[in-house]
Amino acid sequence: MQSLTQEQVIMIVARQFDDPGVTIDADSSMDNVADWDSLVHLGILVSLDVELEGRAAAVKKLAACRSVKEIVSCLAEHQLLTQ
Amino acid sequence: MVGTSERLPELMYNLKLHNGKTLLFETSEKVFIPTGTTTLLLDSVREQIGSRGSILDIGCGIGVVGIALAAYGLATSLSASDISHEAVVLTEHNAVSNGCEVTARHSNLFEAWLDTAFDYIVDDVSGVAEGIAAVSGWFKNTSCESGYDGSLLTKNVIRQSHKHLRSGGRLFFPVISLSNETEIIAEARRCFEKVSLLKQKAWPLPDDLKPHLALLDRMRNEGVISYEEKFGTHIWTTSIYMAHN
Repeated sequence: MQSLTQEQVIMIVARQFDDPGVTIDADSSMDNVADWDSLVHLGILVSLDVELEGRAAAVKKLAACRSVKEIVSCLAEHQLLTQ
Repeated sequence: MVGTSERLPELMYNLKLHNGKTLLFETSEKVFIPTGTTTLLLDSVREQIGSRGSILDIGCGIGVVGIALAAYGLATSLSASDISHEAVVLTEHNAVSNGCEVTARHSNLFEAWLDTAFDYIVDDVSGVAEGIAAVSGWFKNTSCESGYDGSLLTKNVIRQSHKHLRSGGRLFFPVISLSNETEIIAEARRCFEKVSLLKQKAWPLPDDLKPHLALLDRMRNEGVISYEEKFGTHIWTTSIYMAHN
């Protein structure tokens, strides 16, 4: 996949939470989603990398992103987001 | 993962199920403490089992996977075995304390189940390359005789499972990338018509393995294990497979 949409990013983030009670949207972050811990975060990064065929791993800033907005913005900066 | 799990004081293990129930398991320093692989396996099996059936939890440890499947109402009967005597005793105890019936036996793989067949076999035997297991914190007081590449026990379970599965039965097994995944999957494909990947989860390398990167690098270069350096960390994976004919 060449790039992702914001909706696809949200879906990828949401997939990491096994609890159906956790809702992820564009405003979700490590600060307002209690279960979004470092392990979940790693899962998000790895899933993004799989979907983007290995190109997410080259984006150094991505690991430091703490929210859906930051991830989306970071991917957009690197032409990995479809507006 | 099946809900959340955490280790509690006094060697108790707590497993929160999706149905809101919480199961408490007594454990011991002498048995394998459940890990994220345990809960990933449980989650995968729970999602795949369409109808209730007889379940064998092989390499049961303290009984988490089998007892949780029974608590979900998926077992018409539950059997469990482990090579550790203490694990078998704890499984029996944990089954009673969680209101579940189990036939638990001390067994080296299928030795105690020679004439028995099941609808579902859930394998959670040790599957980490021995050299890595020895320096990890996962097998502090327990055995991990899974061979140099970590595939020995899992391949033996796969090879023997077809004799212990009823018609339409399914085998579930985890494969850790700190073992020879290629060899294990090749064995599964030799023994079963259908082998499918159900779930995969990435983990950061635990702290106790970080001083042993030279060993890990060497084994990776030999093609024995696999892990990746990404996002500033070393990442290995657990994959859960299902095999059937």
